[in-house]
Amino acid sequence: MPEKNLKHFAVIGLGVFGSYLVEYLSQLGVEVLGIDIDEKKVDSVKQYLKLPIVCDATDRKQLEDAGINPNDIDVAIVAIGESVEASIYTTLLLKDLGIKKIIARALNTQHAKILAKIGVDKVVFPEANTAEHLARTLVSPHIIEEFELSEEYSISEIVAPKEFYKKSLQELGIRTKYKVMVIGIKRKIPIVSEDTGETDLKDEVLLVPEPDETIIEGDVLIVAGKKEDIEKMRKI
Amino acid sequence: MKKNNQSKEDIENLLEPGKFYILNNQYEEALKFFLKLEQTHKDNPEIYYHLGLIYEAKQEISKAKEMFEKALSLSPKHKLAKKHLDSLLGIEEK
Repeated sequence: MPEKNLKHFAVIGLGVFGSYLVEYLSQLGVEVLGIDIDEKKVDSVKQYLKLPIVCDATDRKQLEDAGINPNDIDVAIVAIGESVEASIYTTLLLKDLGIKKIIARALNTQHAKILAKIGVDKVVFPEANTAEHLARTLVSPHIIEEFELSEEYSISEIVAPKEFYKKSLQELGIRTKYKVMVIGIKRKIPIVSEDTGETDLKDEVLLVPEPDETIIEGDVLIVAGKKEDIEKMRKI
Repeated sequence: MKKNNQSKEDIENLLEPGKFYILNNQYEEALKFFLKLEQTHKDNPEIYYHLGLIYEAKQEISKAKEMFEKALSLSPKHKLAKKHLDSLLGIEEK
Protein backbone atom coordinates (compact mmCIF):
# COMPACT_ATOMS: atom_id res chain seq x y z
CA MET A 1 0.00 0.00 0.00
CA PRO A 2 1.20 3.56 -0.64
CA GLU A 3 2.57 5.78 2.11
CA LYS A 4 0.05 7.10 4.61
CA ASN A 5 0.16 10.68 3.35
CA LEU A 6 -0.67 9.61 -0.19
CA LYS A 7 -4.29 9.15 -1.12
CA HIS A 8 -5.42 5.80 -2.43
CA PHE A 9 -7.41 6.03 -5.66
CA ALA A 10 -9.73 3.64 -7.45
CA VAL A 11 -10.74 4.31 -11.04
CA ILE A 12 -13.80 2.38 -12.20
CA GLY A 13 -14.29 2.21 -15.95
CA LEU A 14 -11.16 2.10 -18.07
CA GLY A 15 -12.36 3.48 -21.39
CA VAL A 16 -10.56 6.39 -23.03
CA PHE A 17 -11.19 8.84 -20.14
CA GLY A 18 -10.45 6.31 -17.40
CA SER A 19 -7.27 5.14 -19.16
CA TYR A 20 -5.89 8.68 -19.45
CA LEU A 21 -6.82 9.28 -15.82
CA VAL A 22 -4.90 6.25 -14.51
CA GLU A 23 -1.95 7.12 -16.75
CA TYR A 24 -1.75 10.70 -15.43
CA LEU A 25 -2.30 9.62 -11.82
CA SER A 26 0.52 7.11 -12.14
CA GLN A 27 2.77 9.80 -13.68
CA LEU A 28 2.07 11.88 -10.58
CA GLY A 29 3.38 9.04 -8.46
CA VAL A 30 0.03 7.91 -7.14
CA GLU A 31 -0.84 4.24 -6.79
CA VAL A 32 -4.12 3.42 -8.47
CA LEU A 33 -6.48 0.52 -8.42
CA GLY A 34 -8.21 0.13 -11.80
CA ILE A 35 -11.43 -1.73 -12.42
CA ASP A 36 -13.30 -2.65 -15.58
CA ILE A 37 -15.55 -5.48 -16.59
CA ASP A 38 -13.60 -5.84 -19.85
CA GLU A 39 -10.32 -7.73 -19.35
CA LYS A 40 -8.77 -6.20 -22.50
CA LYS A 41 -9.30 -2.67 -21.17
CA VAL A 42 -7.72 -3.55 -17.82
CA ASP A 43 -4.83 -5.22 -19.62
CA SER A 44 -4.16 -2.19 -21.83
CA VAL A 45 -3.37 0.05 -18.81
CA LYS A 46 -2.02 -2.50 -16.35
CA GLN A 47 1.44 -0.84 -16.41
CA TYR A 48 -0.07 2.21 -14.68
CA LEU A 49 -1.96 0.27 -12.04
CA LYS A 50 -0.94 -0.89 -8.60
CA LEU A 51 -3.77 -3.38 -8.82
CA PRO A 52 -5.58 -4.26 -12.07
CA ILE A 53 -8.99 -5.80 -11.41
CA VAL A 54 -11.49 -7.32 -13.83
CA CYS A 55 -14.91 -7.26 -12.20
CA ASP A 56 -18.48 -6.06 -12.52
CA ALA A 57 -18.62 -2.83 -10.50
CA THR A 58 -22.43 -3.02 -10.31
CA ASP A 59 -22.08 -6.13 -8.14
CA ARG A 60 -21.57 -5.28 -4.46
CA LYS A 61 -19.79 -8.53 -3.61
CA GLN A 62 -17.36 -8.20 -6.51
CA LEU A 63 -16.53 -4.64 -5.45
CA GLU A 64 -15.94 -5.73 -1.84
CA ASP A 65 -13.75 -8.61 -3.02
CA ALA A 66 -11.78 -6.13 -5.15
CA GLY A 67 -10.82 -4.28 -1.96
CA ILE A 68 -13.17 -1.30 -2.32
CA ASN A 69 -13.65 -0.21 1.26
CA PRO A 70 -13.12 3.06 3.13
CA ASN A 71 -10.00 1.75 4.88
CA ASP A 72 -8.13 1.11 1.64
CA ILE A 73 -9.64 3.64 -0.78
CA ASP A 74 -9.81 7.40 -0.15
CA VAL A 75 -11.13 8.51 -3.50
CA ALA A 76 -13.13 6.57 -6.06
CA ILE A 77 -13.65 7.91 -9.57
CA VAL A 78 -16.54 6.46 -11.54
CA ALA A 79 -15.35 6.92 -15.12
CA ILE A 80 -17.85 4.56 -16.74
CA GLY A 81 -18.70 6.00 -20.15
CA GLU A 82 -20.91 3.42 -21.77
CA SER A 83 -23.91 3.09 -19.52
CA VAL A 84 -25.67 5.69 -17.39
CA GLU A 85 -27.36 2.93 -15.38
CA ALA A 86 -24.06 1.18 -14.60
CA SER A 87 -22.53 4.51 -13.57
CA ILE A 88 -25.43 5.38 -11.22
CA TYR A 89 -25.61 1.90 -9.75
CA THR A 90 -21.84 1.77 -9.13
CA THR A 91 -21.92 5.21 -7.54
CA LEU A 92 -24.73 4.14 -5.20
CA LEU A 93 -22.78 1.02 -4.22
CA LEU A 94 -19.67 3.09 -3.48
CA LYS A 95 -21.74 5.41 -1.26
CA ASP A 96 -23.19 2.38 0.46
CA LEU A 97 -19.73 0.88 1.00
CA GLY A 98 -18.75 4.11 2.79
CA ILE A 99 -16.18 5.49 0.35
CA LYS A 100 -15.32 8.97 1.64
CA LYS A 101 -14.92 10.81 -1.64
CA ILE A 102 -16.62 9.92 -4.90
CA ILE A 103 -16.08 11.70 -8.20
CA ALA A 104 -18.32 10.65 -11.07
CA ARG A 105 -18.21 11.33 -14.77
CA ALA A 106 -21.51 12.47 -16.25
CA LEU A 107 -22.50 11.49 -19.76
CA ASN A 108 -25.27 14.07 -20.12
CA THR A 109 -26.96 16.78 -18.07
CA GLN A 110 -29.69 14.47 -16.79
CA HIS A 111 -27.04 12.02 -15.60
CA ALA A 112 -25.15 14.89 -13.94
CA LYS A 113 -28.29 15.92 -12.03
CA ILE A 114 -28.87 12.37 -10.79
CA LEU A 115 -25.25 12.02 -9.68
CA ALA A 116 -25.51 15.30 -7.79
CA LYS A 117 -28.70 14.10 -6.08
CA ILE A 118 -27.05 10.84 -5.05
CA GLY A 119 -24.51 13.04 -3.27
CA VAL A 120 -21.24 12.55 -5.15
CA ASP A 121 -18.52 14.98 -4.14
CA LYS A 122 -17.86 16.14 -7.67
CA VAL A 123 -19.42 15.60 -11.06
CA VAL A 124 -17.06 15.86 -14.01
CA PHE A 125 -18.28 16.45 -17.50
CA PRO A 126 -15.15 16.01 -19.67
CA GLU A 127 -16.87 16.28 -23.06
CA ALA A 128 -18.79 19.42 -22.07
CA ASN A 129 -15.71 21.00 -20.45
CA THR A 130 -13.51 20.29 -23.46
CA ALA A 131 -16.18 21.57 -25.85
CA GLU A 132 -16.58 24.76 -23.81
CA HIS A 133 -12.83 25.30 -23.71
CA LEU A 134 -12.50 24.68 -27.45
CA ALA A 135 -15.38 27.06 -28.19
CA ARG A 136 -13.79 29.77 -26.07
CA THR A 137 -10.37 29.35 -27.71
CA LEU A 138 -11.97 29.40 -31.18
CA VAL A 139 -13.86 32.59 -30.46
CA SER A 140 -11.02 34.15 -28.43
CA PRO A 141 -7.84 33.00 -30.19
CA HIS A 142 -5.73 35.18 -27.91
CA ILE A 143 -6.68 33.09 -24.90
CA ILE A 144 -4.54 29.98 -25.11
CA GLU A 145 -5.19 28.20 -21.85
CA GLU A 146 -7.67 28.87 -19.14
CA PHE A 147 -7.94 27.51 -15.65
CA GLU A 148 -11.17 28.21 -13.83
CA LEU A 149 -10.78 29.14 -10.15
CA SER A 150 -14.47 29.75 -9.51
CA GLU A 151 -17.50 30.88 -11.47
CA GLU A 152 -16.19 34.43 -11.33
CA TYR A 153 -12.40 34.07 -11.36
CA SER A 154 -9.91 32.35 -13.62
CA ILE A 155 -6.27 32.17 -14.57
CA SER A 156 -5.75 32.66 -18.31
CA GLU A 157 -2.94 32.84 -20.77
CA ILE A 158 -3.14 35.82 -23.09
CA VAL A 159 -0.82 36.71 -25.95
CA ALA A 160 0.62 40.13 -25.07
CA PRO A 161 -1.03 42.79 -27.27
CA LYS A 162 1.21 44.94 -29.51
CA GLU A 163 0.62 47.97 -27.28
CA PHE A 164 2.52 46.21 -24.48
CA TYR A 165 5.73 45.56 -26.42
CA LYS A 166 8.91 47.11 -25.02
CA LYS A 167 7.10 48.40 -21.93
CA SER A 168 7.67 47.23 -18.36
CA LEU A 169 4.87 45.82 -16.22
CA GLN A 170 5.20 48.89 -14.01
CA GLU A 171 4.80 51.28 -16.96
CA LEU A 172 1.79 49.35 -18.19
CA GLY A 173 0.09 49.46 -14.78
CA ILE A 174 -1.90 46.36 -15.68
CA ARG A 175 -3.21 45.77 -12.17
CA THR A 176 -4.68 49.26 -11.88
CA LYS A 177 -5.86 49.61 -15.48
CA TYR A 178 -7.26 46.15 -16.10
CA LYS A 179 -7.76 44.84 -12.53
CA VAL A 180 -5.92 41.62 -13.30
CA MET A 181 -2.61 40.41 -11.97
CA VAL A 182 0.23 39.12 -14.18
CA ILE A 183 1.45 36.09 -12.26
CA GLY A 184 3.77 34.81 -14.96
CA ILE A 185 5.18 35.33 -18.44
CA LYS A 186 5.77 32.51 -20.92
CA ARG A 187 8.43 33.36 -23.44
CA LYS A 188 10.14 31.65 -26.36
CA ILE A 189 13.86 32.25 -26.03
CA PRO A 190 15.91 31.90 -29.24
CA ILE A 191 18.99 29.73 -28.66
CA VAL A 192 21.75 28.00 -30.58
CA SER A 193 21.53 24.29 -29.78
CA GLU A 194 24.76 23.03 -28.17
CA ASP A 195 24.43 19.64 -29.88
CA THR A 196 23.65 20.64 -33.43
CA GLY A 197 24.57 24.32 -33.65
CA GLU A 198 21.09 24.94 -35.08
CA THR A 199 18.88 27.87 -34.16
CA ASP A 200 16.06 26.71 -31.89
CA LEU A 201 13.57 28.05 -29.35
CA LYS A 202 13.47 27.30 -25.65
CA ASP A 203 10.37 27.75 -23.52
CA GLU A 204 10.86 29.87 -20.43
CA VAL A 205 8.36 30.72 -17.72
CA LEU A 206 8.99 33.73 -15.50
CA LEU A 207 6.87 33.28 -12.43
CA VAL A 208 5.89 36.32 -10.35
CA PRO A 209 7.76 38.71 -12.67
CA GLU A 210 9.40 41.83 -11.26
CA PRO A 211 7.69 45.19 -12.00
CA ASP A 212 10.61 46.21 -14.25
CA GLU A 213 10.21 43.15 -16.47
CA THR A 214 9.78 44.32 -20.08
CA ILE A 215 7.25 42.68 -22.37
CA ILE A 216 8.61 41.51 -25.70
CA GLU A 217 6.87 40.40 -28.86
CA GLY A 218 5.45 36.89 -28.55
CA ASP A 219 5.19 36.97 -24.75
CA VAL A 220 2.25 35.08 -23.27
CA LEU A 221 0.96 36.65 -20.08
CA ILE A 222 -0.43 34.40 -17.37
CA VAL A 223 -3.05 36.56 -15.70
CA ALA A 224 -5.34 35.96 -12.73
CA GLY A 225 -8.51 37.88 -12.14
CA LYS A 226 -12.21 38.20 -12.79
CA LYS A 227 -13.25 36.58 -16.05
CA GLU A 228 -14.92 39.80 -17.26
CA ASP A 229 -11.74 41.81 -16.61
CA ILE A 230 -9.59 39.23 -18.40
CA GLU A 231 -12.04 39.39 -21.29
CA LYS A 232 -11.68 43.22 -21.42
CA MET A 233 -7.91 42.90 -21.49
CA ARG A 234 -8.13 40.41 -24.33
CA LYS A 235 -10.02 42.94 -26.44
CA ILE A 236 -7.20 45.51 -26.37
CA MET B 1 31.96 15.69 -51.71
CA LYS B 2 33.95 18.87 -51.54
CA LYS B 3 31.32 20.63 -53.60
CA ASN B 4 28.58 19.53 -51.16
CA ASN B 5 30.53 20.76 -48.14
CA GLN B 6 31.09 24.07 -49.81
CA SER B 7 27.44 24.46 -50.64
CA LYS B 8 26.50 23.68 -47.03
CA GLU B 9 28.92 26.34 -45.91
CA ASP B 10 27.48 28.74 -48.47
CA ILE B 11 23.99 28.13 -47.09
CA GLU B 12 25.23 28.72 -43.55
CA ASN B 13 26.74 32.04 -44.62
CA LEU B 14 23.57 32.93 -46.45
CA LEU B 15 21.40 32.34 -43.36
CA GLU B 16 23.77 33.93 -40.85
CA PRO B 17 22.36 37.49 -40.75
CA GLY B 18 18.83 36.14 -40.29
CA LYS B 19 19.92 33.87 -37.45
CA PHE B 20 21.59 36.85 -35.83
CA TYR B 21 18.32 38.81 -35.93
CA ILE B 22 16.40 35.86 -34.40
CA LEU B 23 18.91 35.40 -31.59
CA ASN B 24 18.58 39.09 -30.76
CA ASN B 25 14.77 38.95 -30.67
CA GLN B 26 14.63 41.22 -33.74
CA TYR B 27 11.81 39.22 -35.27
CA GLU B 28 10.58 41.84 -37.76
CA GLU B 29 14.05 42.23 -39.27
CA ALA B 30 14.52 38.45 -39.26
CA LEU B 31 11.17 38.01 -41.00
CA LYS B 32 12.01 40.55 -43.72
CA PHE B 33 15.39 38.89 -44.25
CA PHE B 34 14.09 35.34 -44.62
CA LEU B 35 11.06 36.36 -46.73
CA LYS B 36 13.41 38.11 -49.15
CA LEU B 37 15.71 35.09 -49.22
CA GLU B 38 12.73 32.85 -49.90
CA GLN B 39 12.14 34.64 -53.23
CA THR B 40 15.42 33.32 -54.62
CA HIS B 41 15.76 30.04 -52.67
CA LYS B 42 12.31 28.44 -52.72
CA ASP B 43 13.73 24.94 -52.39
CA ASN B 44 15.74 25.55 -49.21
CA PRO B 45 14.12 23.89 -46.15
CA GLU B 46 16.29 25.88 -43.72
CA ILE B 47 14.65 29.14 -44.79
CA TYR B 48 11.20 27.73 -44.04
CA TYR B 49 12.41 26.24 -40.74
CA HIS B 50 13.68 29.64 -39.63
CA LEU B 51 10.50 31.37 -40.82
CA GLY B 52 8.62 28.81 -38.71
CA LEU B 53 10.72 29.71 -35.67
CA ILE B 54 10.07 33.42 -36.16
CA TYR B 55 6.30 32.95 -36.46
CA GLU B 56 6.28 30.60 -33.45
CA ALA B 57 8.20 33.13 -31.35
CA LYS B 58 5.69 35.81 -32.44
CA GLN B 59 2.80 33.48 -31.46
CA GLU B 60 1.54 33.42 -35.06
CA ILE B 61 0.89 29.73 -34.78
CA SER B 62 -0.92 28.92 -38.05
CA LYS B 63 1.80 30.60 -40.10
CA ALA B 64 4.44 28.78 -38.03
CA LYS B 65 2.80 25.43 -38.76
CA GLU B 66 2.63 26.24 -42.48
CA MET B 67 6.35 27.03 -42.56
CA PHE B 68 7.40 23.90 -40.64
CA GLU B 69 5.21 21.87 -43.01
CA LYS B 70 6.96 23.45 -46.01
CA ALA B 71 10.37 22.69 -44.47
CA LEU B 72 9.31 19.06 -43.97
CA SER B 73 7.92 18.75 -47.50
CA LEU B 74 11.34 19.79 -48.82
CA SER B 75 13.29 17.77 -46.26
CA PRO B 76 11.13 15.04 -44.66
CA LYS B 77 13.90 14.12 -42.20
CA HIS B 78 14.23 17.65 -40.78
CA LYS B 79 14.14 16.68 -37.08
CA LEU B 80 13.76 20.17 -35.66
CA ALA B 81 10.96 21.15 -38.05
CA LYS B 82 9.17 17.90 -37.11
CA LYS B 83 9.70 18.56 -33.38
CA HIS B 84 8.26 22.06 -33.62
CA LEU B 85 5.33 21.05 -35.82
CA ASP B 86 4.41 18.16 -33.50
CA SER B 87 4.59 20.42 -30.49
CA LEU B 88 2.36 23.05 -32.16
CA LEU B 89 -0.14 20.38 -33.15
CA GLY B 90 -0.25 19.22 -29.53
CA ILE B 91 1.47 15.92 -30.28
CA GLU B 92 4.15 16.10 -27.63
CA GLU B 93 6.82 13.45 -27.61
CA LYS B 94 6.52 11.14 -24.62
